[in-house]
Amino acid sequence: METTLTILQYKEILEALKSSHNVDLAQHSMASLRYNFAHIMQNSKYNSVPSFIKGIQTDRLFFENVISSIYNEHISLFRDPSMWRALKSEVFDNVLHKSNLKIWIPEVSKGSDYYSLIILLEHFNLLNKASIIISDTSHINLDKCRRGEIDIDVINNSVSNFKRFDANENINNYIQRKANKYVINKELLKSTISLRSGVLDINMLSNPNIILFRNRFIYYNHVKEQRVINRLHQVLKAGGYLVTGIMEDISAFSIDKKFRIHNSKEHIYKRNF
Amino acid sequence: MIPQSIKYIVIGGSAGSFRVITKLLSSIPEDFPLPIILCLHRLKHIRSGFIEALELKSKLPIIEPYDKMHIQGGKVYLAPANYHLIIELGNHFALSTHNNVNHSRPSIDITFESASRLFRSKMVGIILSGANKDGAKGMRSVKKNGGITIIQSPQHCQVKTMPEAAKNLTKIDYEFSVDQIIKFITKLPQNDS
Repeated sequence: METTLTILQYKEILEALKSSHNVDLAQHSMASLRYNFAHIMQNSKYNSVPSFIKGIQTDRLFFENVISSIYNEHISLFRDPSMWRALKSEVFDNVLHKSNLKIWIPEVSKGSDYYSLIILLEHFNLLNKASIIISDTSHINLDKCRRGEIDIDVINNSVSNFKRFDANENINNYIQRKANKYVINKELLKSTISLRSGVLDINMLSNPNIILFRNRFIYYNHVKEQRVINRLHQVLKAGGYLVTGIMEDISAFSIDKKFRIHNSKEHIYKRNF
Repeated sequence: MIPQSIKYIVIGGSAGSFRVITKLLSSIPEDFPLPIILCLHRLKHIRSGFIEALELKSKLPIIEPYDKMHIQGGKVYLAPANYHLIIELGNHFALSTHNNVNHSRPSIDITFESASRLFRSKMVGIILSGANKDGAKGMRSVKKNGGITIIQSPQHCQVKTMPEAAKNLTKIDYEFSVDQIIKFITKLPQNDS
């Protein structure tokens, strides 16, 4: 079996998601979702397109698993170590001059950036000055993040990344092995509020001053990318920071001066007033 | 003889392919009109240095494409470290952070399979020296969709696992030395009549 689907098969699956569950993924990146669906199909009992569609329609748990894998990222903690250094020295320090940190991670998915963030805050003794909001459309992803579970297959790279971030300390000070998985130290999860919501639908009582949204735009088409940028701009405090993936370029959407580049190498943007 | 008009060149390689790539890029003229897409295995955590090393040898601009960047002729596109590079409808790139494929991200299979489905008979897929089987399924897809398949002759490879894996899975159109690959590529625009 090849690792992707035909356009027709892909559209049949999208239609099933919409008609059965009112989940509309038409504005997601087709290339990515096609591959993603095929990958799930290869690794489940629903291993043909008709049975995959039947699974979406009749098997609630399978449907939830499909939704939890929309951003099927496989990312180590502290991916791009220099970005995490810049986040501390250029963003946290700037924000802390005026207020505490209020950080939102929409579409938290498997939680790699969330775990990196709380370890970073603890590392610099800043966790007590931060409130963190994570959100996701999938309760499976949120539950996993609430439990602090880390995919075991990203651990080796996470250890190396953390060494590149700070050669003098070990990430194992913040995580522990429990049977066949790793978990974040429970104490570190206390400052976090989790909300089940898509990035476009969320309602917040107060606005964050930092949004981490790395490697999420790559899963959207142009139309949704624009809508999400507008939403992030609306939610983020004036003068707040937006962090995207290093290969995501939102400059095309900045012509109306919503954001300006703060750090071009690490793709940290600042919301204009 | 090249049986059809090729518009896209997609090249995959890993261990031992860097020298081949630099030789190839240094031989391609600055007015070369086709896009060249490179999917090369590289260290995940090294973000700079690689592209600069290739730029020293190339007369064409070398670009690590951002997500959704349009593909243009006369440019060399290098798959960014730690992302899969996918060719998307509308002639643009898409990036993904999905699982490694064949222990690799970027994976040659993913780039080749997505490219072959869109470019079909307008692409040539070339597999160079490399130390694992990544690219073999991609080449099968190139062939199935009507593209031309070329491997670097295993006897000329520093590490021959990759071209041999492709050869074992697919009836490859051409087995070329590096000089023959260069000759083939540089003649492609002349074939476009």
